[in-house]
Amino acid sequence: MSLRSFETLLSVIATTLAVGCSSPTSNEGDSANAFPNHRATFSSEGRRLGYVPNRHSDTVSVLDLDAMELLANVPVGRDPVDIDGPRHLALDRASGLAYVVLSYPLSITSEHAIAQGATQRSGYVQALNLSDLSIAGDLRVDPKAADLAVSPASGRLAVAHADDSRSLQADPEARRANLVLVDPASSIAKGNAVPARLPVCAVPSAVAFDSDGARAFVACKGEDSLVVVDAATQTVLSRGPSGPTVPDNPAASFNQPYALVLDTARERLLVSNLVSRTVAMFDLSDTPNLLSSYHSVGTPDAPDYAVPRFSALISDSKLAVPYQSPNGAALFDVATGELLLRVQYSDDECSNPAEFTVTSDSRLFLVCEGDHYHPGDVVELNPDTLEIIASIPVELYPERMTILEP
Amino acid sequence: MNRRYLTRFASKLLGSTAVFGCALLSACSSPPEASAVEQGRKLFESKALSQSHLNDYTCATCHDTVASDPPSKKTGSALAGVTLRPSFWGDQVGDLLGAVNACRSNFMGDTQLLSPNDAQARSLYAYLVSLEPGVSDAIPFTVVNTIEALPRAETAEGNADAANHGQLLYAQACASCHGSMHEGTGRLSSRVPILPEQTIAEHAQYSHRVQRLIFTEKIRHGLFLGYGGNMPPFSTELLSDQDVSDVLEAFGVLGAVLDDDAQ
Repeated sequence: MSLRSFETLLSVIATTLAVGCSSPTSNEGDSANAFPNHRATFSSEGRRLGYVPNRHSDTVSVLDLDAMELLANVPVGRDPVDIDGPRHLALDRASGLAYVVLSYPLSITSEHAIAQGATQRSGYVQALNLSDLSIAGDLRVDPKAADLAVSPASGRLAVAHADDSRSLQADPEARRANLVLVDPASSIAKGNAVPARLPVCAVPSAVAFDSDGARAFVACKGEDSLVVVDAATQTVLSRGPSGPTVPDNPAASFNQPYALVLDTARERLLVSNLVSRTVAMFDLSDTPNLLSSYHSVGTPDAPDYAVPRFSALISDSKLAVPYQSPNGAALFDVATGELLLRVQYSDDECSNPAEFTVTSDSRLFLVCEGDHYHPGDVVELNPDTLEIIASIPVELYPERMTILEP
Repeated sequence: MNRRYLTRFASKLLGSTAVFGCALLSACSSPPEASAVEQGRKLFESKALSQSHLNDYTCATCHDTVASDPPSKKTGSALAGVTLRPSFWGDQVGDLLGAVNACRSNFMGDTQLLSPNDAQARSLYAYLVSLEPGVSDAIPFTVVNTIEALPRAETAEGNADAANHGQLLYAQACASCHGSMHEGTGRLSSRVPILPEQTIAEHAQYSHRVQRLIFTEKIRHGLFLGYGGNMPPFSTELLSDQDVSDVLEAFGVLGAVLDDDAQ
């Protein structure tokens, strides 16, 4: 072998080995493995899932409602230390997203904070990937964000802000907090959301869309009204009482709406009033007509100061209403308004019942807030007797559950 | 083959072998990810992880790489095994990059989130992986929400012991950022207050009792829960209430309970 041939051979071997041994640099081949997603995923295939935000734990509990077991408590929120206050979660199955409203309750944690002047923080809506609840994006809204709704039909999102500090203003217009509308909701995940703000009413505490997402219905706690909004034009269509009224007697007509939900068929509206302690049923017209109202007169053991929360129609003929102070629930005949059944729960069974939800096959669930310092629960009830048949502990201060059907 | 040719051949052979060896060494002597790991280590130890010119922190300011014995008093956990942990920030953050970004935005002043595809993110992750196995369980991190007055010892001897212990804790937990007590020698930057004098001066309008609460609040909440600034919070796992009280004793921030009227 000549010297030149030997040199060439060595060179080829060295080059081959060099290529064979060369490694990707930090800028090339390792990107696929950087910060891999270790999150648990939650599929609703073949099972019914429940999503329960926990306001004082900054988590969403994911429940398998068929197995009646907790799958995970998933952290949500933006602040790794402070309470973000997730209150309600809405699903956008078409976009593979969920949205959770972060309320940032005003927490006075020290005398120094008091002296400095505690300030309100803006609320946020966080878009979450439905598969694992990882954060896809967020949108800053207004302080005291309290409730949100998403229309599956239109893809719109609405946020109500129960800003009671505004209600101290002298000017009635200045008392009105915004309804924030985002169209489409999925733009939050894309980072290009353009929110529209409509001063809707004083202390709007709950919101729901009709079946096609054209109108939003708002419970206005601070001005005792039910407001209807045209979501496309962002205008108020009507303002009316949120429950029964007595002509020429404003005091007897005071309702103070807090909770508002549509029935599963999205044909009727159920508004729970804190002061009149009624649940009022409306149709879904531009100026909603009061169809019926339901009021438990109570018993000596369970007097009628119990306050209704988020109720549900469990059939065409039965309305289920959760009550707080004391803990209880009631069934009403939808047509006649007759109280069919009233039960009480111990704190161990269900402390501070907050919301009834009904599945497509008529299973009945109740969210129990707890005392806000110890874990709450989601319980399943016998829809005929309201007896608790199963219970799943969640975390601190749950209020609402959103169900994802298989 | 004459001697001259042999000498030339041997010389060429030696040279070629050297080239060959160098090529082998450069190609195979280090692990494939070594450069990324090294870049990640440099990021960990430098301020370059944030683009903010106001950033005083590195990752190493608040985190050890490997848990020491006894454990250090750095506010963040030791990072060996962090890539294996299921949650962070006391279960308040569900993914590691989210936890890194929480540090960058809250303490390091960079609001531009790192994404997994960023070169810095890849290098940092490679370095963190290189620290495995470490502790793979989530690290408890309990924040005191409501600030209440911390009692002092009831005897002079007890208070002297507390002050001595407080001096020791200050050296372990505070000095790396605030520098030496009273002088601030070695502090991270001129923006970091000299303790306790500058903080007392900034809150001179408050009573001694409230000043003691302010110190407690700052240690427990850091920048969070409405306080502001960019200091991280000390959890109960790192400093007990007694520890915090001892640090305040070393500061001389004694806060007689009934002194409000005397201000």
